[in-house]
Amino acid sequence: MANPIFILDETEEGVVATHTARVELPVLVSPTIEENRKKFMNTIRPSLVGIGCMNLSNKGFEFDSSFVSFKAKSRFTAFAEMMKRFSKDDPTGADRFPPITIFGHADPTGEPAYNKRLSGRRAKAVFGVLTRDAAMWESLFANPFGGDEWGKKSIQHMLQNIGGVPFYEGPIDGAITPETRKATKEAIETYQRARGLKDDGEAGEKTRKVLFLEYMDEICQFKDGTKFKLDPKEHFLARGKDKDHKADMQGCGEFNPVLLLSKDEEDRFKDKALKPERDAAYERDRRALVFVFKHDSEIDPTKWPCPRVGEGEGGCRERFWSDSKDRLRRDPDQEPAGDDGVPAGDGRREFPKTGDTFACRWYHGFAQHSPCEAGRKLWVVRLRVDGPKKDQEPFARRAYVAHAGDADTRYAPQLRGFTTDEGQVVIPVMDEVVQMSLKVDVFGLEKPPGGEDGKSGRNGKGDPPKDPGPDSTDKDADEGFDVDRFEHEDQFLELKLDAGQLVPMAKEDLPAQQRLYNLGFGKGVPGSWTPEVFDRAIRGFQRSRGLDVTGNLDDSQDTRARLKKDHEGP
Amino acid sequence: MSAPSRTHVVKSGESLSRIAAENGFGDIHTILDHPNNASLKDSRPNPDVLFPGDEVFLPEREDKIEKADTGKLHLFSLSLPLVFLRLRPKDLDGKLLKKEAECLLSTGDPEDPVPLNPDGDGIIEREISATLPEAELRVIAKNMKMDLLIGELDPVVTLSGQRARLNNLGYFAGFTRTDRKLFRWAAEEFKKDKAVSPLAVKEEDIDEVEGIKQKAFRDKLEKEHGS
Repeated sequence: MANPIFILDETEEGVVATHTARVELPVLVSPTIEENRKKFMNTIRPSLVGIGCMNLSNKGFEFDSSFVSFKAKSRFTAFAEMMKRFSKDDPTGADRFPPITIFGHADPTGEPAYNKRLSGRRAKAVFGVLTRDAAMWESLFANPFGGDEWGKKSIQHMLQNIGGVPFYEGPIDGAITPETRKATKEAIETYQRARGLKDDGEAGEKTRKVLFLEYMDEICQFKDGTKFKLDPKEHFLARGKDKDHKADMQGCGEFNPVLLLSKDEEDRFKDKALKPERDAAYERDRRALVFVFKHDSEIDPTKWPCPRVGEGEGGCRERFWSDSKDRLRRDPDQEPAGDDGVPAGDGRREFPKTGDTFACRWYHGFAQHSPCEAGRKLWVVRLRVDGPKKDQEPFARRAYVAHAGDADTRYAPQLRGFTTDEGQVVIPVMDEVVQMSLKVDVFGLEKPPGGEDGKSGRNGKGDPPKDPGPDSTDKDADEGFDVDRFEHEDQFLELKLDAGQLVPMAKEDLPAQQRLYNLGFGKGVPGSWTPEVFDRAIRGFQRSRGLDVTGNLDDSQDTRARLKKDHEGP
Repeated sequence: MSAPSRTHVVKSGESLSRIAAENGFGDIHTILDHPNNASLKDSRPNPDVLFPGDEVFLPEREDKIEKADTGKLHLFSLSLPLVFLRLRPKDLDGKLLKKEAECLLSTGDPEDPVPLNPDGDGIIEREISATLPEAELRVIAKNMKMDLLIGELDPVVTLSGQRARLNNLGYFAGFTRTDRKLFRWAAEEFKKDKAVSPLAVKEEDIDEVEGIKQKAFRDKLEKEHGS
């Protein structure tokens, strides 16, 4: 992929993101002399590479069941738009969507077998929306399971959210009072008349089918309002070869939580009266994930380890880590803040932080690099140049290439792209301690404005999603511009990035030195400066920013805050 | 020109056939069968899978002197080791490619890319120069494109060799020396699929140089990879 698409769109209802962290590696092979031709060869098997994901959080489901909420609409829209972008990257040029698979998850309270079924129902609900499978929804509606009951509430919710003017405007209560019962019946009658159905005021199977499909169309569309619909025989990993959709959707039960409460918290929550509090604490674990794979990825469902949605959890256990028990352990609460004022942690374990809370090794393989599960670590490097009036301008739309790993080996994955309009390079951090080298084409031509990266590059959370604009212009801007090469491959600016080297701003000198150094002040390795070098660097920074030149970081003008602000950019 | 005997220290990317070719030996056995290389031969069953730092004794080499008249055309044939690139591509499910599956192999030759079809064992083969450092393989039907680094494969008794084989077999084991989490993941997945027991791979089971020392794991990994 010459110019990787970068999408990161997060709301309360979930995350839609591209996977940036996997880069294809070169294959290391051995040659064979003639006499050994019978003996040796090199086997090469591709691995399943995820390119994007959607995490539909518990807030994307209504009344804590498997019923997909209207609030999930923005997630489906973002997902649809991402799939559209991927379809432009179809290597055959046929504009196809790449294949997906769906995983449902439950929180780690209750019985494993129960949770396995519950999580499967969430996968089915999402599958139903994406493929407009009203029968699948009907089976969920008609067969409530434990606390997962759609019932009248779901009818009310749907009638409230379709058709422009709501059919139902009362409270979503499951029609339990005489007033709401009457209002719901009337709303159903109005709906039935409007859709040419028999107006008996009962949301029977025929009415439900029409209602389900209309509601699905309402929540699952592109930005321009056209339907986003996937074909179960084309757009799923196993292409629907298994009649129960093995490998196209599955439930992980409670085995892959992103959050585990501390042991002390769990002990406290054994009190049944605290169930609502416990459920709220574990909300993050109740979710559904959609993973998108590289174009043409197709697998044989008989070789897929995950059991079907309707099957027990035995198949899941088959694929567990050897130390799965330890991964699901609850840690005791830890000591409160010590002398240094830093809290020692609350005993909770979270996948984005510790990377080891999934019992299933197979699932861990997909999730570990996914921004939808693992959180994300990104380097956002802002490049600036001195402008004509001594102010700094972003070094925008220039080619860059980033190498990961040991720079001296040829076994280093590469990422190529262009700096954004703001002069940013966004690179995933692939390994806790890896070094990256970033080479920027300083002598080459500036790419015309309006290219892919310039529009979609974002600096992590907080930013509102940018309008990616009509896709046709992206292609025009790229035309005739070789995104794979520098103008002069041997002339570039090289920067070294060390993961984990930049520590949070505190009172110590090291972070200040690193920030000064990154902004172009000081000399030598940050952390090893002599007091004179440090002093000169601070003075230089203060002078350039029009602050009082004191050589002191902690004067009244707060040089420290300015340093942090300038380093982090707008 | 003759060359006196010397010891060559293997660098990354060097197979014995490449070392032989670059030092004017037409037959790798001149090197491999020399008594001074007995321990190398013993520890590296595949002479084309060496480890950086391995020492290869290069025996004294006497070159033939051919007399020839000026003004006439003379043909001398230079013998170099005959070397092949043998690849067995599989699909995501681990199934071999069918005979009809068209593959393209590029080695930097003018006639590139050369179309090849897998033989009955799913193997595609092409003769290459012993000094060729890289090639590119495409499998048309599967939309697969792979960059191959030739001679970079380390022995299976090393961590880097194990990592490369796991990566090649579709178990993403990372690419840096320090990433033990990915390596553990890949090793356990491989063992599960290939029924190598015990399954558990612990932090302390992974030696920084020699990788996993379990013989059953090494043997299975070498067999599955084919080298």
